[in-house]
Amino acid sequence: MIDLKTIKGTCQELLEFTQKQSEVKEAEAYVSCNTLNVYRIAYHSKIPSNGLEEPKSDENFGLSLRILFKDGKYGMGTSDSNLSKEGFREAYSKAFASRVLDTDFHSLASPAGKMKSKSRIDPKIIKTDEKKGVAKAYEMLEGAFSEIKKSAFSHPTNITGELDLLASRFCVANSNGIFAADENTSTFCTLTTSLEAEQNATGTSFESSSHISKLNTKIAGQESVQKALAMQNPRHMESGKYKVVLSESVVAELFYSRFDLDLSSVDYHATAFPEERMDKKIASEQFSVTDDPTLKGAMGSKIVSDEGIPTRKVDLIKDGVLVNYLSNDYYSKKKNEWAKYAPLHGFRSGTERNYNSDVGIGATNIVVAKGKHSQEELISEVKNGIFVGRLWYTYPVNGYASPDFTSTIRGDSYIIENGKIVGALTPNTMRVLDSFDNFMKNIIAIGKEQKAIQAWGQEEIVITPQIALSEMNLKRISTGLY
Amino acid sequence: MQDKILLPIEKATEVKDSLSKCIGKFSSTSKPLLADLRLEVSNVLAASALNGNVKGATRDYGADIGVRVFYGKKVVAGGFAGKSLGLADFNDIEKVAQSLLQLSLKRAKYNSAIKEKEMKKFKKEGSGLYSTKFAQVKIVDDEWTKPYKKNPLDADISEFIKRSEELSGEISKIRGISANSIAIASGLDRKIFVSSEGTIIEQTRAITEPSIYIAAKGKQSETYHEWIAEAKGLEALEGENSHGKSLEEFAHYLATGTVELSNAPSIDFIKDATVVTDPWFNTLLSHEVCGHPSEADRALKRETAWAGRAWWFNNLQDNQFGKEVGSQEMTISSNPEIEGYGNYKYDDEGTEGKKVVNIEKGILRAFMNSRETSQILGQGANGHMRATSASHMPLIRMSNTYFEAGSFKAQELIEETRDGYYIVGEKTPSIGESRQNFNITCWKCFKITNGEIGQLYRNAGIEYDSSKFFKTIEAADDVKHFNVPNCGKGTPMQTMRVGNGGPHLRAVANITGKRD
Repeated sequence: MIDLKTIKGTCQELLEFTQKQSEVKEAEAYVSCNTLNVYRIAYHSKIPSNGLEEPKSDENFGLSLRILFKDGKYGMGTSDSNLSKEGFREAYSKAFASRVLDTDFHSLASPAGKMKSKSRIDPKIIKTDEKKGVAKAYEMLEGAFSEIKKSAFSHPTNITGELDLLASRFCVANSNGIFAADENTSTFCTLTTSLEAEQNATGTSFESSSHISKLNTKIAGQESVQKALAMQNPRHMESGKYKVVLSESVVAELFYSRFDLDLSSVDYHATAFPEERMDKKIASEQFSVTDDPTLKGAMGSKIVSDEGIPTRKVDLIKDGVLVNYLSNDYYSKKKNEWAKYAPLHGFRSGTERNYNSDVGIGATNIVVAKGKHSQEELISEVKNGIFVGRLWYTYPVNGYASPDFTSTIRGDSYIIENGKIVGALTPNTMRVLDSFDNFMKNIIAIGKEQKAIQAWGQEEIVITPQIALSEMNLKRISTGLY
Repeated sequence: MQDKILLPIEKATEVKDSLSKCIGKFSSTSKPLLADLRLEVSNVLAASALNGNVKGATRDYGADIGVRVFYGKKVVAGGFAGKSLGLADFNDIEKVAQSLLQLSLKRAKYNSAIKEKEMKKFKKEGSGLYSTKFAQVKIVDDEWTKPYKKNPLDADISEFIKRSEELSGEISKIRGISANSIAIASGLDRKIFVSSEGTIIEQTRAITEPSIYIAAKGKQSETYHEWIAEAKGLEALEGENSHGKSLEEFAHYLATGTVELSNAPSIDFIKDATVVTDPWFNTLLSHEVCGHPSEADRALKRETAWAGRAWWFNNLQDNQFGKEVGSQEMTISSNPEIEGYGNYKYDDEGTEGKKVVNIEKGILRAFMNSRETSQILGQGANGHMRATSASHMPLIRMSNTYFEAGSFKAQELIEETRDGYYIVGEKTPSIGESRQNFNITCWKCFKITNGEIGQLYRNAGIEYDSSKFFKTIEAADDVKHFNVPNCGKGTPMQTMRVGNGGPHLRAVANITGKRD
């Protein structure tokens, strides 16, 4: 990876080069490099399998310019894999050639205070030891194998998952006086084990950290098998409205599907939280949500946005009332009434500091405030219902402006009777047909411990406790198959 | 405006021989079982507008490279690496390729050593571990260009800016529209593939992909997003596309239709309804519940944690091959040889793409596969491994997967329906983990009464268990193909362009509506 000193130096030179061009009114220089290492596990005991299916990596580095020209037009240009003067000229010529008159683009960001702390990075992720990376991934599989051996489970097994290591470095500087740089590392591992006896018990583990030494992949492997073992001899349930306890993973899944609380979605009328709902009670008083980029060791934490603005915690829903939207500098300036939304979330695409994309709006760590209850108390509160452990394919089926979603219950789910878990729910036999509005309003109790979740294909991190609801609409599916 | 793109796709051709020599040299010294390399250069023009105001434009290139190495003295395993490329990299592309090959070899060696250790340590629990093998395929030296009429790179970006802004402005003026966005993208893509076996392939194609987003506010808010998505040049903007409409015609059609929907009533849940689905809706149906479970890697349970499994395949001894999974009117094919996003000559393993009949008159026959999975299944290699870009690793992806023609006429299916629903236009899917159940919403839903199309409803979709739905299918003969630009699979996520579609179908399904 390119060192941070070089990135900062290049960024400063790029800005100076650009400011010398006669057509330029304001300029922002951005330089970054990113590395992603992924170790993908795929195994089945009865089908020829590779175990570590893919130890792979993808890396990029480059620079970009965002320029407001004297003719009022805005343009962006990039140069891949080139931090030299030639790259500067390339990025500038592209920005000039592609400039457009966006009448909503007023100016680039202005300095807004100093960064409060430095990100903690893991040098072992910055420079991954290839042998150790492969070995660490196999430890997950070994953890699962050991647990299966201990359990004496003798039917076919299917084990899939991954270990990811992500490192990024960037610097941003603009003609309004912003100069900021940061480096981040993060890692997570997840494993799904299916025990293919009659009813396909499935368990999934997920762990994340900013440091690889804090990630115990062997335990993650063992945990996925333990969860699958707990799912044996499951029962079916029939269609109906149930009281439920939602696991952390399920709450996160609902957020990924329907929680569009950014001004870009508002602008596109593509959110179930339009402006008419601002400052209104939309959820149970127990429900509060923040975006908190300052959490130590959390995967989504960032001390500065991609526009060079120091981050801070932001309330989004407070005691059930919608109080804020996420915004970047462009959107905070687009309409007078939007100036009240702090421009803290100008990011270029999630966990990666991506020189190649324009600035959008992104969340960091979405945090659901914890409540007072242990898991046992939540289950006791529900009394008769379902513990929903994992959802699958949760999508906004009735459009972006609707809070409606649908999903299926994949695994790690249990039946609650008389305030206790009495057995597993057969995986893949129930579809959820409900809405995010119902989720928020039907909250009866919130757990006291939070967990960080990142779902497949998503950029934000959701840190949430378990949540009990008075009602969720479930439909029986896959009759005769599972 | 900039006249030429700094890294034209021709650059890929210029380095083809160097890459072939490089992998040849690597192969003779390192002796992998198999090594292959892909390099890709794309040249794109794009512009977008929101509510009649331009937001951005670009005329640019993208380039990247990816490498796979499979190695093992006793137990073969893989190692992979990918990287984005800039202009300067092409001055010494052999050096870039070599370093990725060496890195991948290192990973393959570590992978091989530990896999072997695990096979010995966990003889029972790890009994599925094996030494990676590949089906033999023809060694070729070939070039292929998918024909197109109007070169995207002949356009000036100012044309795209003007067109997107003007169209978005027109749509803004339609009564009931609360927001709209028009984005136009078009370009050329060239891929080079070289392997340690001696294959050298160059493939080029055009992509034109404008997207239309509509938000309407009548009695309720309604949103809709769709593409004109074609592996064609600029002619796709002028009506030479699956919808048979120019960009302007299609945008107006979607806008007025979405406004109409925003004033239509919502539908309630209806059990076991007779539904007639149009080819446009069947794009998602063929994609989600026919195409995806016919991907061999998913069926072989290598994608369980991310994309799920396939309900009709449990293992090599327990599966539905040769058994009835649908009605006699249901035939599903996956064909890279026909027009569509899934049209190519060779996949990203250098295997010639071949038509495969996945389901034949209701009987499950074969999967889309790769060199490795074809020999596991004992089915001929049909070339369905593709990566979104060269730096990503290929996965099994649909080519053009669609329902073949049945014995009915579309009009017949509607006119002979006494009490049912006409489902028009794809919207959003949510599918069970093994593709065993689906809920797919539509753009428009109409009541059919005594063969007549009547009341329009919003918030509608169909939901059913796949096997039950398949067994009720009656198919018409009016096959139409549409393209899906954003099929997600893999980790990290790769969005792939694929083709889908089919004729009108009639079947039984539950109608889903608005939630409480």
